[in-house]
Amino acid sequence: PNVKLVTSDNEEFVVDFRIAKMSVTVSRLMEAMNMSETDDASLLSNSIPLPNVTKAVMARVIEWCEKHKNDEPKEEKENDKRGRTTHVVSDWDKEFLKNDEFGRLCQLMGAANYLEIKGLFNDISQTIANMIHGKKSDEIAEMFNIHCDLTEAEKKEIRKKTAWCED
Amino acid sequence: MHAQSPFPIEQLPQELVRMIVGYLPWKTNLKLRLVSRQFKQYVDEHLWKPLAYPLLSSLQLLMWKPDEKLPGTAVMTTISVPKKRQIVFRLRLASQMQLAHALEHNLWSNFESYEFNFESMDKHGDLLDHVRNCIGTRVDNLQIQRAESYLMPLPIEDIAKIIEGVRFRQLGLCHVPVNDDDVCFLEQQVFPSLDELWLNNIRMEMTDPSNFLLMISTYVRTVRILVSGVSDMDMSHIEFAELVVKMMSNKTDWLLAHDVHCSALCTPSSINLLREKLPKLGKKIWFQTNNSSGELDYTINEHRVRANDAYFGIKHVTREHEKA
Repeated sequence: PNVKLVTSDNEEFVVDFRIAKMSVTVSRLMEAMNMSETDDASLLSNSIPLPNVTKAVMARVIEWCEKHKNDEPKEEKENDKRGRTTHVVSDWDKEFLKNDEFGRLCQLMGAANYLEIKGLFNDISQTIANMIHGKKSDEIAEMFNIHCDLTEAEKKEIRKKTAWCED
Repeated sequence: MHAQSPFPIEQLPQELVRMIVGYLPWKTNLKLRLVSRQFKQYVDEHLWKPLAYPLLSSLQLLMWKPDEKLPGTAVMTTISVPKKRQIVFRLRLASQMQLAHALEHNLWSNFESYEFNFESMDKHGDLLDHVRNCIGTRVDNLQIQRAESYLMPLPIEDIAKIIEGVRFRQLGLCHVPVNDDDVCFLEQQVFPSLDELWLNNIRMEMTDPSNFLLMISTYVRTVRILVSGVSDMDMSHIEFAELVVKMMSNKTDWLLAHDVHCSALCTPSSINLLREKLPKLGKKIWFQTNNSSGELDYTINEHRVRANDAYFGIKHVTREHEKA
């Protein structure tokens, strides 16, 4: 059975029921609209509105879901010993995300968050973290187009307090 | 690779930026604090999130009397932080100015960890509150000791300031006097999360030491009772063999009683009682003492019973590889 998803720019995507169910948000909406896998009429007569996702982003989300539709559910992993969240991004996912510029990654992350697709969300969060990792503060500011509103005196004070951790 | 076209990350919902911060190593987060006020705030918020792991490997509280003429007890606090977790701890410390000053000047480093020492007395009482804020809610090991020559009661109020709400896996009580109030305090604050307890030469000042040990066995799986040299830990009036059976019928399944000066434990009848009862408790137990006499070596109910002049032990066969 197929499910119809409608994006914010009124594009309709017809996807497999299993793919639709990968999104917790879509699952909840289908449940609220009494749409079930065994009731073709309910699936044909309804469509799921997704006002926070554009056509371009939805196409990327569906591409990711197609690849991962048969994945076993992953165990929730606690923070690692150093206190950070870690997620292993598979080779396919690295390839999938590598050409997205930062702006598109953020849009995709926003969509994964809204649609509650945890695997995609974790992939993107880890990918963005990997982009930041190892960079100096001014390089991070440049990458994210951030205007630094800290004064030199404030920066000096922050550095002084964490001087013990300087390389 | 990713094209790095400028995109204002501020357009992302703050919650998502906070999650990205959680994916970064702390060394990178330190650099992120210099990017902008907003990013510094994200990192600082992340710093104080509840931790899913113990930040400290141990917390040691040593009681001593700084001045014989003055009332009151001083507490020397030693905080051990594994090197891999030191950034989080020291960043937390850096935001508590008074404590940072006191601790960063008393910092020792060994191969695996950093140790911070400070002495708290009444005039520095606030330090204990700050320590409490920094250490998180889980600590592997708590050691409460007193200086050998000093016999004042435990300063429970000071100790409570540091450990309230913290869960400990191991507790060591060494040379400290323990009275009924202390037992009540430990039962409420420490024992419920405890997995292992070391009682090393404690001074049993509670009304009923047998009840104290029995109560411990309802919480703790591993109990080590160590007595050495001239000790305040007088257990001569306790029917120890019967008590051991009762304790090991509760949660305790590993009990080490070393040099327990308890004549009742050395008699043939008490050894026989332990040999008869312990392997039949339906648990994989391990009991060991160095009070014994005679030679034994046999297996019953999957428990190996061994004895010689300096050892008596009953150990489930699946625990043979475990070391004391």
